[in-house]
Amino acid sequence: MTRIRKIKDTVMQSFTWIASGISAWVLVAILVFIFSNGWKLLDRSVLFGDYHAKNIVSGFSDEHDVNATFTPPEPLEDDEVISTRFGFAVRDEIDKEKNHVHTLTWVDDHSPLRNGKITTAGPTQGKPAPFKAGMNINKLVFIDGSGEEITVGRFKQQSPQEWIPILERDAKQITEFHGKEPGGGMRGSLVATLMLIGLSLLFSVPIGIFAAIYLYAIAKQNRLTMFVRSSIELLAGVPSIIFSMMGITLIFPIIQLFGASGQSIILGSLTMAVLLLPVLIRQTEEALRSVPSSYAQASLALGATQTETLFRVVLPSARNGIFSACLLAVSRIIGESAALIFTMGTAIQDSPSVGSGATSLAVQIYVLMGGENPNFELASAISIVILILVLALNLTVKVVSALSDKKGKA
Amino acid sequence: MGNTNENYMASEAKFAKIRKRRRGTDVLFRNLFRIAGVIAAMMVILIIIFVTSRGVRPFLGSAEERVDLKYFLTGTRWRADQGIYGLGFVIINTLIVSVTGGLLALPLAILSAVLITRIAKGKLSIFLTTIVETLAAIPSVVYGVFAAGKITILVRDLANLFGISTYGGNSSLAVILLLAIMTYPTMTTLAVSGIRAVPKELDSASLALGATPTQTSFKVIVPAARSSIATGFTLGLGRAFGEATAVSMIAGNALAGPSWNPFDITRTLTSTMLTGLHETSGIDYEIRFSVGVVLMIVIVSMNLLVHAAKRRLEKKGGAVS
Repeated sequence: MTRIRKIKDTVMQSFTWIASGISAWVLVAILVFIFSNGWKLLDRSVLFGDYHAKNIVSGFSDEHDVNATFTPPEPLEDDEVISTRFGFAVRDEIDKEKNHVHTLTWVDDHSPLRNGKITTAGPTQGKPAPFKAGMNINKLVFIDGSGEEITVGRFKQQSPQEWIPILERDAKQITEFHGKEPGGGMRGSLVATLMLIGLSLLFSVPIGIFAAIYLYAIAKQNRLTMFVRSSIELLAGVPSIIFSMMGITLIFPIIQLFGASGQSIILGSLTMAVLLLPVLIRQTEEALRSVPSSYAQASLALGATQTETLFRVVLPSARNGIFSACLLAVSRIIGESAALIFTMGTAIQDSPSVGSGATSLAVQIYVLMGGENPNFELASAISIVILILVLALNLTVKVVSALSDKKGKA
Repeated sequence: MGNTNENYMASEAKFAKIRKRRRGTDVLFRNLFRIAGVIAAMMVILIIIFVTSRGVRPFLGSAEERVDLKYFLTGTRWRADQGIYGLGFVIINTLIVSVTGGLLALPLAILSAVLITRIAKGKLSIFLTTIVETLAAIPSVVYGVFAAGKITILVRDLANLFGISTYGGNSSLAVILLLAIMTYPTMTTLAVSGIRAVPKELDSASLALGATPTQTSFKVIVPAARSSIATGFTLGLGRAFGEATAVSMIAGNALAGPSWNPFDITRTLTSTMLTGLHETSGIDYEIRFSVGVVLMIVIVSMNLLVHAAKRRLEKKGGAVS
C-alpha cells in the first residue's frame, strides 16, 4: 500500500465518520431542543388539562363555621399566602400569556371553597364547582360582620399579601368566587388521538390482513397480481396531504350517506385506514411468509381446509409480525398531521366526539405553530409526548422481532 | 354386516355435508381475501380519479369564476386574496428546494451507509443504525417545531453574517436543510440494504486484486448498490415533495417568485395547499385540489425521470450485476 493510497483511504474514511457524525448531531440537537423547550411545562395540568381556559363563577350558600382553622399539610413556600380560616393558599404567578395571576396552591378538603356551585346561567348552573389547586382566583366576594358585601382579589389590583389578611380579618362568609381554570392542556387531543387510533385500526387491520392473505395464499403469479402489488407500492408513495384530499372527495360523500357532516374524527379515521393499508399489508405478508411452509402443509395433510389452516395455523404463527405491523401503524397515526388537517379540522377540542372535528396531538402542534406567535413551549411539550410514544412503539417492534427471531432459531 | 354398512352410509352422508359446508367457507373466505386485495389495489386509482376530477373544476366553471389553466401552470404570482393563481413559480420553488435538499442528503446517506456496513463493526454499527432509525421515526410535525425554532435561527444568523436580512429565517435555505434532514434516513436505510445485498464475491475479488478495503467500498461496492441507492433517492425525493406540515411552518409563503435567493422566503406546492385553512368553500378551497393534482404529476414525473436515469446507469455498468 503506497502512502498516497493510505492518505486517500483515511480521508474517505473520515468523510464517512463526518457524515454519520452530522446525523448524530442533528438527532441530539432535535432532542435537546424539544426537551429543553417542553420539559419544564410538561406536568399533570398540561397532560390532562383542557386547552381552552375556563372561567368559573361560584356562589356559596352554606354558613361558614367562623371558628374553623385549617393547617396546611406541609410547610408552604415563602411567596404563598395562607388563609387559615378558609383553608387555602395563594401565590402570585406569571402565566403563559405573561399576566399576573393568583394561583391556588393548596385547598383543604374541608375548605368552604370546595362547596361552590356554578352561578352562571346555562346548562351547568347549580352544578358543584369545587376550587382546586392550580386554578386562578380573580375575584372574591365576602360578607363582613356588618353584613356588607366586600370584593377583594386581583380584580381590585391587590396582591395576595394585601387581600388575604383583609379576608382573614373581616369575612364572615364567602359568597362569590371568580376563578379561572388555566388552559393550555392537551387532554382533548390525547383523547382524540386514542379515538383515531382505535377507529383507524378497526377499519384498516381486517382489510390489511385479508389483503395480505390474498397476496400470500391466493394470488397467482400473473399480471393481475403484479398490478395489485405495484398499486399497493404506489399507494405507499402517495404523500399524506393527498390522502387528505382523498378523504374529502372520496370518503366524505360515503359517510355523508350515514349522516356525517363535515370534518370529523370518523372521516380522519377512514382516511388514515387507507393510508395505513400499504404498511399493514407489507408487514403482514412478510410475517406470513416467515411462517415455515411445513406448518401449512402439515395442517392440510391432517385434513384441515384452507380457511382452517390459515386461521388456526398460519395466522397464529405470524402473530408477532402482525402485532408489530399494528404497532407501526399506531406510531404512524400518532405522528400523522397532513392527512388529518383537512379531514379532522384544526379546531382544538376539549371533549372530542367521533362525529365532530377535533385535533390529534400532531395536528395540535401544527395549530400551535401557526399564526403570528407560535407557542413553542406547548408545541415542544406535546412533541415530547409524541416522541416518547413513537420511539417506545418502535422499540417494542424491535424487541418483538428480536424475540421471535430467537424463538425461530431455537 | 348390514348394520355396519348403514353406519358407514350415515357417516359418509354426514361427512359429505361437513365437507360441503367447509368448502363453502373456503370459497367465502377466499372471496373475502380477494375483495380486500382488490380494495387495497383500487385505492390508488380511486385517489387519482377523485382528486383529479375535483382538481379540474376551477378550470371548467362559469366564465367569471374560471381560473385560467395556462396562467395557473406558468404564472409567477399567487394572490389568493386577489383571485390570482399562478402556480408556475411554486412548481419551480418546490423542485429547487426538494432536489437540492435531496442532493444534499444523498452523499451523507451513502457515506453513512458505508460506515455502517463496511467500517463500523458490531455494537457501533448497531448504534449508528439506531440513530438513522430514530431519525426516520420522528414525525414531521416534530421536525417542523425543530425547524421553526432552530434551523430558521441558524439561517437568520448566517444571513446576518452576510448582511442580509431575512423574514425571521423563514427561507428556501431553511426548507432545504429541513428536507435534507428528513430525506436522509430513507436514503441511508435503502443504501444500507443495497450494500448488504452486494454479493460477497465482488468484495473478495476486489480485495484479491490488491485494492484496499476503502477502495473496494467506494469503487466496487457502492457502484454495485447504485440501484438501491437510486431507489432511496427517489423515495426521499417523494417525501420531500409531499412533505407538508413541517415545510409550511418555515416556507414563509412568498406571494411571487421563483425565489432564487436562498435567504428569500419561498412557497411550495404543499405549503400552498395548507394556507388559508379556514376557507371551506369557493375557489380558494377548490384550487387546493388542483395544486394536489400538480403535486401528484410532479412526483410521478420525478419518479419516471429517476427511473430512466437508473436504467441508463445500469446499462452503462452492464458488466456488474
